[in-house]
Amino acid sequence: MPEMGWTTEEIYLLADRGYAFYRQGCYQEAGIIFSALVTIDPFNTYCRDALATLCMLTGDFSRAAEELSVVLQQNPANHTARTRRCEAYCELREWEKVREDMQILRRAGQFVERLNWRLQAASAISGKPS
Amino acid sequence: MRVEYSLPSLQLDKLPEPATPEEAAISFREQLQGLAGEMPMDWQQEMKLDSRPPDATYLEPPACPSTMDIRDPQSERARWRTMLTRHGTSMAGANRNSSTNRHSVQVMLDMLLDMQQAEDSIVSQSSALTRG
Repeated sequence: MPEMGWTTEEIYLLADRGYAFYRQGCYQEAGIIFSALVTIDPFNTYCRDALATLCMLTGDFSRAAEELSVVLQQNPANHTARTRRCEAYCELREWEKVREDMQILRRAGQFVERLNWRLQAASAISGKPS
Repeated sequence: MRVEYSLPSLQLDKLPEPATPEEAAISFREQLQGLAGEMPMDWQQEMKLDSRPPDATYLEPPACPSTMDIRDPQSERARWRTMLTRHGTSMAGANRNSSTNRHSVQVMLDMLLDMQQAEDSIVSQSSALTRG
C-alpha cells in the first residue's frame, strides 16, 4: 500500500522511469528513484528488488543483501530474490549464508549452477571442503 | 542445357487423396486449433533454455496497472508533469530535514524536476529556432 498522497499509477510512472534509467546504464539516477519508491511504498516487491539490483550494479552489496532480506521476509518463496541475495553474499564472501540459501534453492529445484561454481572456487581458494 | 524447375513433391500426380466426408466436415478454424494443440515442444523450451535464469543484475520492466492506459504518449506526458508539479510543491512546503525517508523522496523529486526543466528549455529553444 503506497504512502498517503501517492497513487498506484504514480508509483508505476516512477518505476517505469527508473527502469528506463537502468536500461540506459544510468544506475545512480535509477537508484535515486527506487530508493524513494521503497520509502513511498515499503511493501512493493518490484521496487525493492530493483533497488537491490541497482545496489549490486553500483557495488553496494551489503545494502543489496539487506533489501533482499526484506523481500524474502515478505515472501520466502521468491527464488529470484534468494538467488540475487546469494550473489550478494558471494561478493561479501559470507560463504555460510551462501550455503544456507543454496540449500533452500536446491530443495526448490532452482537453477543454481553458477552459484555452485562460485562456492566451489571459493572453497578451493580457502582450502575448506564445500 | 535443360533445367527442371518442378519439384517432385509438388507434382500433380503425387497430390494426397481428397479428404473423406468426416474430415471435410471439420472447419478450417478447428483444423488450425488442432494443429496448435499438437505442436511439439521445442527441445530448448523443454529444457527451459529459452527462459533466462535468475541473475543478480537483470531487471524486468514494471507491471502496468490494469486501470492505466499507456498507449497515448501525450496523456502520459501530461500525467507525468501533473505528478511532478503536485508532489514537488507539496514536498517544498514540508520540512526537508524531518526524516531520512522524506529526504530520499525529496532528492528524487529535485532530480526529476531539474530534468523536466532541462527538457522544457530544450523544447522551447528548438521551437524558437523552428519559428525563426
